[in-house]
Amino acid sequence: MQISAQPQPSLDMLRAVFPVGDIFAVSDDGELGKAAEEYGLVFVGLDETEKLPVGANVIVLLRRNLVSVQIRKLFRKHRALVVPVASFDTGSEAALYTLRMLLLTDYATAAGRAREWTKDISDNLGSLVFRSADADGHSTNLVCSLAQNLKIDAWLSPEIQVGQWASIGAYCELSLTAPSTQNWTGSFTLDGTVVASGALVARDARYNELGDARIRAANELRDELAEYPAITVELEKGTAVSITADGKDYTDAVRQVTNPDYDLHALELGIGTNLTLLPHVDWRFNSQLNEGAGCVHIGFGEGMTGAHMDFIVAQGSHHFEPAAAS
Amino acid sequence: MRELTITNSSWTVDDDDNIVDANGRMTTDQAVEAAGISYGYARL
Repeated sequence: MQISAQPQPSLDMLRAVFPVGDIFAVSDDGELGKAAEEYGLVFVGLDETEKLPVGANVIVLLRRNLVSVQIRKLFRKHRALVVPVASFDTGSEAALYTLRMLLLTDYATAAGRAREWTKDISDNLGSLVFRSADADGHSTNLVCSLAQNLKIDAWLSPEIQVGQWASIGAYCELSLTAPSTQNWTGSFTLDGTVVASGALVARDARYNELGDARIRAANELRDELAEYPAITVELEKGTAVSITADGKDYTDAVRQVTNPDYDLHALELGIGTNLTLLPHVDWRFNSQLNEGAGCVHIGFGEGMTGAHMDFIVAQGSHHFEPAAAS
Repeated sequence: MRELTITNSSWTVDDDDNIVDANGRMTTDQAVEAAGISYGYARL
């Protein structure tokens, strides 16, 4: 994908999140903090949060620490937008790219899309279908059968109130997840073909030793997948039966790094709401901000016992099928 | 109409400095279940 001419980020979009007052960038990393200052944010080190005024607007940029209860408690009197860089790629380029993308994100529009989606999903009982076709003729045709009762994680209003802690990803997607390993398809069932422009690997703070090894392997796998313009995922009854790129089979490789016990059952269906960011996306980066810029993504693994891997469809249309006759 | 329960990422701390963890975000032993109900805290 051709990346658009580089726009200069400003704090304008963040005013939907923090309407008034200084916006602080609290980070455990000096390089990221300095970059944030250059964009007009006020940098405070993670070890200096006592300097923050009560009720402060804060972007928490975690590059060297995963999210924890201790860190959460530091911001109990503030409005916190959390960016868990450490869960993705802590390299300098990826971290600075993530900072840039969060400043380009249109939070108001994303929240508006989330509201529209929740209404559409509520009003339409038929299957949700995503379709797209890229320049090479690869086609996404993903049929999502949704449960009658659904739990959706989403942020429907852009402003963060005092005491709230909002993860950047929540603004950028509606997320449906499988209830448990005993009930993989309790929320949704996926069938069809996904042609992904990019893949992400994420680490949950509660990863175990075996998960760590798998996540490291997943990062190497992702770097290899990033060389391809398209990754094709074939799904049957909620399980990936084939993952290929340019004719090379990656099915078992993804199975292994996301925990082979899960056998490629889809854990997450993510509907992107940060679509205005898409022209600026560079799929080479393992950045959380890429996730919600595409219209839909499918996730495998939980990030603890194995990697959480997302496969993201960049552009596409969607519609709801007529509800089945009762 | 489909019945929706909308959750968000706000991981609440109460006045006694306790994490309000009614959904078992950090405590469940079942990883998939934990991921599903606690994605909010990290939103992977």
